[in-house]
Amino acid sequence: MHKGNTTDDVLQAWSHRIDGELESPSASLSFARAWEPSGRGSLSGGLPPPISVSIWRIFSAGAVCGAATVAVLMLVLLVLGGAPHSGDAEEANGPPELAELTGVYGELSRLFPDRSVWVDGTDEKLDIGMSEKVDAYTGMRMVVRVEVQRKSEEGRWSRVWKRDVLTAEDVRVQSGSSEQNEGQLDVWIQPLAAGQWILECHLDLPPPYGIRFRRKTALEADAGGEVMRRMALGDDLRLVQKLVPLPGEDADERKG
Amino acid sequence: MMDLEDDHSLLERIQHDDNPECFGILYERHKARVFRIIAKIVLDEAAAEDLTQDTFMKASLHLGRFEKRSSFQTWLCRIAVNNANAHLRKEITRRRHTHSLRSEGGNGHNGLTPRHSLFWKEENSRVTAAMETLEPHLRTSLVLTVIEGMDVAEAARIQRCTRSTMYWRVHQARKQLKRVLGYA
Repeated sequence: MHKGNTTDDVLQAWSHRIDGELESPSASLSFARAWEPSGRGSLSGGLPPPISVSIWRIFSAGAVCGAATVAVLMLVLLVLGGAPHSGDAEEANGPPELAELTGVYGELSRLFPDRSVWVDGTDEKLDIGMSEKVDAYTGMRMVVRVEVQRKSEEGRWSRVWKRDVLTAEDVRVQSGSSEQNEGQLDVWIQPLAAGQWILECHLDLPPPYGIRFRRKTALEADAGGEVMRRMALGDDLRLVQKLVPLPGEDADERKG
Repeated sequence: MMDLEDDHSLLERIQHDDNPECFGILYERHKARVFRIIAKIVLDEAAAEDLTQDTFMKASLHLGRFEKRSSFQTWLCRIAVNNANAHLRKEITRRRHTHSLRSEGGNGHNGLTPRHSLFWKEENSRVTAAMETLEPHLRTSLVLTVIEGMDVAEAARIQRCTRSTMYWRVHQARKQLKRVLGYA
């Protein structure tokens, strides 16, 4: 391209000034490839460990909901089949994870139609939460699974920690608590294109895993993969993410 | 060692070894240029940062569509330019909807990009305002050729137009910029 005229000179000088001050993007990105697709609505390849509903806590985006809300949530428990269980783990019937999450989520959504709600669970408990302000979601609902796997001496990966979060697009979920030494997980799903999302995940998991992870990852429906690997106390650990739209939520409808 | 491999070798490795780390290397290698191009099209460094991330995420998800008829950089720039232009179209539509609510500004800045951006610092604002008057496709043509120094053929491949169209766009963009800057 011919150069040397006044306009080009002015333009290039402007560009050099801008370049001198532009800071290159610092964000860390992860580019996970498709991983162990197991069909829509399914989170597990084999039979997952059961969830026992043992502890209930309430999260909000910034403040804990009031006592009235707590009372309503206790009703949710009753609707779902009983008061909260004590600390003794109850052997649940079969693989309950998605059904339990969606059941609780559905009840919460019904009771609080003008709030963004979410449900998340580990192998031992479920947590529920909602936005502090009125902001009824309009995005697709989906489940994010974040799990830590350990490699055995035989070279097989097995899950040692996991958390499933059922939420909707564009809802920032803060779950867990660093104070109780149980690890803290923040997730935020943003739509990228038809059938594709960006998952922003912040995970602080205390020892023995000692994982601190902050990253955005591009994911397709029912896909995920390893996003981090580390050695901790002689164990070979890896962090795995997966995104599963709920049955009935059709990503193709998002086209256009 | 992977840092020294060319783009195509890294892409081969991604395809055959399913190694996401290789794409991370491509990201580190190309992010600065992609960011620069997007920033000068959208005239907003904060939006450019998000659009740069989106560009690489889309690229990582659509690697299977890269046919290696062009360089990886050209393909990446095409995604970046499409992203930037889509962002501009959205911003322009948004401004049209809110135009009646906006009080009249007095500095020639039409409000499409944030005032706190470094593009609107005193020494940059005159050229930024002139760039902002250009239609997105004219602005993009100028950024790719005059600023980034690409040859017309590569810029045309990125914008999916013929070389003669690219020549015409650059000519039109220069003419308009000259007039706005008072050099005509």
